[in-house]
Parts: sequence; structure tokens; C-alpha cells
Amino acid sequence: MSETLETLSANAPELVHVAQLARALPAIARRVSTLQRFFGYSGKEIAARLGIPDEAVEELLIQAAPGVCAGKHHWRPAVDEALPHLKAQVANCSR
Amino acid sequence: MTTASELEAQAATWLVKRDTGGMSAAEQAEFDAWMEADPRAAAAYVRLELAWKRADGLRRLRPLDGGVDEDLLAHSPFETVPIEEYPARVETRRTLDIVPSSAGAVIDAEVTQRKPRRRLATAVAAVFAVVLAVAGGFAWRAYERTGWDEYTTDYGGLSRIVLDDGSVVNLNTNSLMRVQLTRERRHIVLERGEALFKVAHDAGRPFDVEAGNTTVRAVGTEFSVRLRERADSSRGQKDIVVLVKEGRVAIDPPKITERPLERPTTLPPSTSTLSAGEAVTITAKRVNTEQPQMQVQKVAEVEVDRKLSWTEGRLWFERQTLKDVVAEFNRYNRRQMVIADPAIENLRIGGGFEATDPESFIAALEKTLGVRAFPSPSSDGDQAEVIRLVGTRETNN
Repeated sequence: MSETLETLSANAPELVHVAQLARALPAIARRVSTLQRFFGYSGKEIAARLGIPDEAVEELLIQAAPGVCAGKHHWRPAVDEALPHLKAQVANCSR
Repeated sequence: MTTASELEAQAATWLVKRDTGGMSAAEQAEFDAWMEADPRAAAAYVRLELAWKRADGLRRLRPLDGGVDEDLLAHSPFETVPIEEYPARVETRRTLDIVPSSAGAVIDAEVTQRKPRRRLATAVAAVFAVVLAVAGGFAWRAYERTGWDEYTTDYGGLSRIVLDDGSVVNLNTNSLMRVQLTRERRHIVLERGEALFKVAHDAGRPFDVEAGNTTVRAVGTEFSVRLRERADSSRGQKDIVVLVKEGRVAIDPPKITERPLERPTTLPPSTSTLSAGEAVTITAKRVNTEQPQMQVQKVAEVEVDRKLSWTEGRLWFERQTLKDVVAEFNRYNRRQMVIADPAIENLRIGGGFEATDPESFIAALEKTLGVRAFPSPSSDGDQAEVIRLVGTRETNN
């Protein structure tokens, strides 16, 4: 069943933040990432639908990824929990 | 040492490559090596991948009827919460404000009820709103005048830029380009150098490239524009070379009146069109007392690719004179080559070379044509060293 924004905000509040970050992206990057991530479009399908060059799709996804994940510190505990050895390596590296 | 933001950019590139399934075995090996080389890189990648996958939770917002809405997230009614405030807001998520769609009506009703007591405040607010609107208008006009983004490349530089409309620009060596995108027009000014444009389709918003008072207009096509310094004229005079790879473009050359194309939706009667596989060289005039010369040429597909090989950092030549080849290499390298022996100027050169590797080219010249190269101080003093090319008895025979 599809969720509404209201139920999503109650059930998965971190996604509200992600949605806000996505809204801050340039419109073209947001459309490309929405089609690729949520609707499963291929690069060629996205290019055809939006009337943009094929090679723009990958570049726009590369732009969008850090933008959508800008608040990634919210995920950090989960990552650190999953990969403690990585955390230790990073700590050693930054000394 | 690589900075955190550089690592994140690299991580994003790998993430998208892996995610779109376009990795070859060699690329996979390169990715593995990148992950192992620096634990900070691995951490950046893992964090990004996790966040990216979790963002997929927004799929739950997709319409149930199977429709596709690429602007799904654009009309989210969530209020904008500053990122730095977000953790605190999550803690109190039960009170997270979602602006209801009827909020505007509620506010209006409240204002109406209080109107008698708020007349002065309303008048002040109205005046303030007018002032804001006027100021906003001026600000917008100022943006319209000055809202240009500038992109440059140095000698040997090559840059790929995705504009906000989805068009892709490859900017060649030693180039300067300014971009202004408005609702009515996509306006590019090529001040120096060369660029290849792959234009996103938008019939309502022409894509105009201005170079040396010539305007090239396209809607959904691929073409290059180069400002080429003329060897046979005084410094500063440049020809404009336009090459169309796909689709069609309209060319508006400089007029006697020197008025550039101003109306975004109509083309002047003097405009010429150019189709895929055609190139034109427009001989610009410093003093426009006569119409510029336009020489249209047919260009075979393989030749178009060869002419655009600079987008991959390579130069291809086919029986071109050494003089022309040296001039081409000099566009890409600060260390300039000079032909010091007129006898070798017209030697014919063919083959492909790295644009920023003149040493390999010189080695090939020495090996195959007996040309000798000597580093020497520059005569005009503004460069540390030039490479002088001279013939030998073997060459001259």
C-alpha cells in the first residue's frame, strides 16, 4: 500500500529529511534520481523521457547522491555499528 | 592528501557506476583498489551507499495507480527544516509540523475576523508588501542582468559541465564560457576557446551560443563552436567555426549594425541553417563594413568524430601540414613548439596523439621524419622555454 506523506513522517521521520534534501537539489538532478531510484528507469529511458543527453544522466546522479545524503551523519551510528573495523581504521588514519 | 569532499565526490562516482550496473571487470578491480587504498575512502563509500539505499524508502510515496511522477518530491508539503535543526526535530517528531493544504484559508479567516482592530497593521503590511514586491522586482532584474555562471579551462584542460537544464557542455583547452539560464532562453557566451554542446530538448526555451557576435541557436542537438585566431591577420581577429554532429542549428552571423540576436523566439531573416555533418567557418570582421563570409562544408561522419576527438583528450590528424599540427598542439600546451626551419613546415602528418603529450609527438617526428627538437629560451620573454623544430639532411631530402 502506498503511504501518504503524513504517515511516512510518523513511521520513518528520517525520510522526511531526505525528501527535504532532495527538494533542495536542482530540479533536473531531482527528476533524474527520482526516475532512477523510485521508478526503476534505465539511463537511456531517463534521457528519452526528460529530453536530455544520455551522458547527463550519470553526471546528474553523481551530483544528486551526496546532495540527498548530505545529512548522512544521521546514518552514521548504523554504519559504525555495522563496520566497527572500518571506524577503527578511519580513526587511526586521521591521527 | 585527498580531502574529505574529494573522497566523497569519488565515492559518489563509484556508487552511481556500481548502481547503474555499468562496471567492467577492469573498473571493478579499480574500485576494489580504491577502497583498499584509503580507509577514509571506504568509509565515505559505505556511508554514502547506506544513505542512498535508505533514501529508497521514499519509494513508498509512489502513486498506487502505477503512474510515473518525476516531480514526486518537488511537491512534498513538508515544511523546510534547517538541516542543523533536524536531529532535535526528530526527537520530537510527534510535533513535526506538516503544513496542511488548507493553511492559507485558515490564516485568511483569522485575519478577516480581526480586521477592525488590525486596520493600521494591515495598511503597514500592505505598504511593506508593495515595497518588497518592488525591491524583489529590482532584485530579479539585477539577477537577470548579472546571473551568469562562468566556466574556464587552462592550457590542456578539459571540462564536462552539466547545466541546470540537463544540457552537457564539453569545454576544451584554454576556454572561457559564461552561461545564463532564464525561463525564456538559455544563453551561452563563448568568450574564448572551444566547446561541444549536447543540448537538452526544450522547444520553449531556445539554446543560443554567442561567439564573436555570431549566435548559434539549437533545440535538442549536438554541435561544437570554436573561436579560432586567424594566422593571417592582426592579433585579436577570430573566425568562428561551427560543426554540427546531430540535428540542426540556426546561425545568425554578425551584421553590419553588429546587433546580436535579441529576440528569443524568432529568428531574423538573415539566419542560415546547418544540418548534421555540416560545418561552417565565419570570417569575423573587426570593422563590420561588409557581410561576413560564411563557408559551409560537408563533413563525413568519421571526420566529425575525428574533429571532436579532443573531447577524449586526443588529437587526430590526416595528412595535415606540420605547421597546422604544431599550431593545434600549441593550443593545449604552455610549452610551445616553434618551427625554426621553413623547409619542414609543409611536411604531412597523420595519426592520433595525446593532446597534452607533445613529447611523444616530437619523438615520433624525430623517428619517422628526422626532425630534430631543441629546447631554447623564448624570444619574447613571456615563456620560459620553447621547443624549436628543425629539419635535418634526411628530412630535407
